[in-house]
Amino acid sequence: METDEQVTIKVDGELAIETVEEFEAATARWTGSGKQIELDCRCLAFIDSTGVSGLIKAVVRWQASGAQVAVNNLSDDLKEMLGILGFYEAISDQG
Amino acid sequence: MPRSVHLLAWSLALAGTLLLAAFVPTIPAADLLSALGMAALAVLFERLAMTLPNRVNFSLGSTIVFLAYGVHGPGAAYLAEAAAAMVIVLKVKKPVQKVFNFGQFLVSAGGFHLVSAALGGGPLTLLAASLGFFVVNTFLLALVFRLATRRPFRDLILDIIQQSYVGVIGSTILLLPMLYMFRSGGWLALLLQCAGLLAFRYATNLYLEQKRVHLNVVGRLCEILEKKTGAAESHAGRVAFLARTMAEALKLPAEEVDTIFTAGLLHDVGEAEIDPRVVAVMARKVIPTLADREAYKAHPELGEALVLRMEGMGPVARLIRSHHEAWDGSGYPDGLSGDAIPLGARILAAAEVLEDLEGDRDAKMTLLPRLVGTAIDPGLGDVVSAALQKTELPAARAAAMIEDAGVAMLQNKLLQTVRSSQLLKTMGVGHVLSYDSSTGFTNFLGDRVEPPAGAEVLRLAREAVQRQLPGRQHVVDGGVAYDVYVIPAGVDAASVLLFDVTEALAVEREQTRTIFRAYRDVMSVVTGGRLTLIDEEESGALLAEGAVLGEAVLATPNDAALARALIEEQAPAMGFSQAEAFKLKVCVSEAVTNVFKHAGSGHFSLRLHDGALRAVISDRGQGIPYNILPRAILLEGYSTQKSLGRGFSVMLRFVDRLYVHTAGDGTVIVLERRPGQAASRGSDGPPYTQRGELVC
Repeated sequence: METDEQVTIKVDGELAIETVEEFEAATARWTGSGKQIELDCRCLAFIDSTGVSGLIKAVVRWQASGAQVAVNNLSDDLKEMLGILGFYEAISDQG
Repeated sequence: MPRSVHLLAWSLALAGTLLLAAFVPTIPAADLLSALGMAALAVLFERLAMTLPNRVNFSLGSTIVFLAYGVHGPGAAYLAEAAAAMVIVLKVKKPVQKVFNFGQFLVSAGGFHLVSAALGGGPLTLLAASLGFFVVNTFLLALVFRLATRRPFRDLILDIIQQSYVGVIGSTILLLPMLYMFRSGGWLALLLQCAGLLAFRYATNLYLEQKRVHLNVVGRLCEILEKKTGAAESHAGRVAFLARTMAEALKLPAEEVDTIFTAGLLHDVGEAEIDPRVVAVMARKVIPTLADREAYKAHPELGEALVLRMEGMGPVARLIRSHHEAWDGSGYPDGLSGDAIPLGARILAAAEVLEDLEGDRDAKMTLLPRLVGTAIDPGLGDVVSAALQKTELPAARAAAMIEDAGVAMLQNKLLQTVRSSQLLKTMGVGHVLSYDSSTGFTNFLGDRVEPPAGAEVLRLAREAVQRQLPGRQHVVDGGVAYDVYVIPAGVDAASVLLFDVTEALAVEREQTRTIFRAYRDVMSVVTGGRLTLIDEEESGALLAEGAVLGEAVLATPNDAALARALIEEQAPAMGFSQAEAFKLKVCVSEAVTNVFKHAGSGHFSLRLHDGALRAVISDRGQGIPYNILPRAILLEGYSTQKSLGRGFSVMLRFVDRLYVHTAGDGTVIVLERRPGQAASRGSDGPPYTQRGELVC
């Protein structure tokens, strides 16, 4: 879903070694778009450290290009895994 | 520079100046502008001189000089020649050379003038006159080299003719059409023709430059490959240079010379697909085992197959296949002999043999006659000797002396290390025997004896004698292991040394066990008994336990989803909560991802043993070396790849037991978890979660 100021990206399925390249390619197009980006993870069923690495890359790239990023609707399991795998630490390192 | 050279140079310059002074004023005033135009054209062509692939310099400056003569007479020709000579004069550095070149070209133009005048003029006499130019030019060059170097006059003449005949033919052939064009269409026709020639020159130069870049790239890539495979440094470059020198000496067509040179650069490319240890053994010229030698023999065919995949490289690939064939049929891979071996491959084989010979140039010259007619084509004997003469420049010799000095220091250090080695103290010579093809093996008293592992040692001795090459093999006889060396000692005999290495192998095995136990204990303690390093036997026993619930081949990253699906399918039935199953999936996903990142492919199975779920992930990769094992497993953020490096710490957090077996032929990871156990280790977890820092 995309407006002039904001884009919502829905992540569906499992984010791991077999899908991370596709995720990185799909998210790269909004880098530098100047829009607020919302990553809607309601339908994200699974993530491992390779998936988290891809997620960190995307968020850091967006932040570096000046976008405001929000990651929403994470399940408790996913939240816990992102915490363990250093997601929040990594994106706060970037300011 | 001898005084005589100075005298010659100044005499020629004086003669040239006199010719200029005598004839330039004879140019009719009406022709002066056109004559100056031709002088300018001569300068242009001289400046655009090309270096052909055979390193011959080619310019059309002389053609314009002859044209000026044919159109406007001798005055215009001397003017054009003086102008063209100034290009060379400005290019060379030494004053005496500048003076010589100025006189040389004008006096050579005098040769042209003389012959043309004697034959009475006319277009066809200009062809004979141009030969007059080159005869005088060749003579003057030979004379100055003779005075400067004292080399035989005849050799110098032959060298100069060899260097210049292409230019002579080219400039003479182009003279008549140029003259015809000028006479029929004047300057416009001449300039159009010159434009065509310049376009041709541009295209040729572009082609030559592309070819130079192409060969340079191939050469640099081969050097990178040599470093990767452990092959001798710059070996391919030296073989290619020697082969090209020989091919040029045989006057082969330029295209064939290029093919041979390229094949020289790539001749060992097949080594990339051979065990690097074998390549390193062959490169170090230590005695290889029979198995090593056989493994190495595959490289010409592997190289051919690799190069055949590159478009247009068929002829190069054929030479690569046959570069280890020998003239007498004793080579490989096809055992071809004589003329059945392609000429280019015979040249490469000769270059390879020459490069592999031990010693300096003089030592190689002494050994060469023995190889001509066996390994080397007898027809190439002379060019091989000549190519050898061109190798080893003084700088290379100086470098070798510096290297020798360094080697002496290293030898002393090495000797100290050898003396203190515990392992070497366990080694001893088991048997010293002589072998003769008629009497068999004898000991130092001359008594006939049967060596341990007799059949294998006999085969090794026979092969060494037949090939006249040293051989090495490991054999076992009655629980004793021997490292056997056979060194040919004459036509039918060899010396045989059998080192008893049984104890050394036992010491090595014990050292490996000690290291393994140390790592196992440390890792078990640090992880609170959660991680167990297991050996091959324990790994086998673990994999034999329990019932298989499901399996998946891990061929592509998409198969990671299959492994996770198996967990999702089986975990609820075993009593795992949804949250537990999620964490197990993460653990399996981490282990499976490691397989794809480090080994390429592997296998996954899910087992049930004594109420616990066991996920087994195995691969046939190179294993995790012991020295990086603690960091790879225990430190968060440590990764040999560009990833988070948290895979193992996640596994350790969520499973009850983690078993790891790793060796040079693969890794097995077993994740064990019982349902309903305590929740995962949180921030109060193990003391090994600090990024990059081990806290004990």
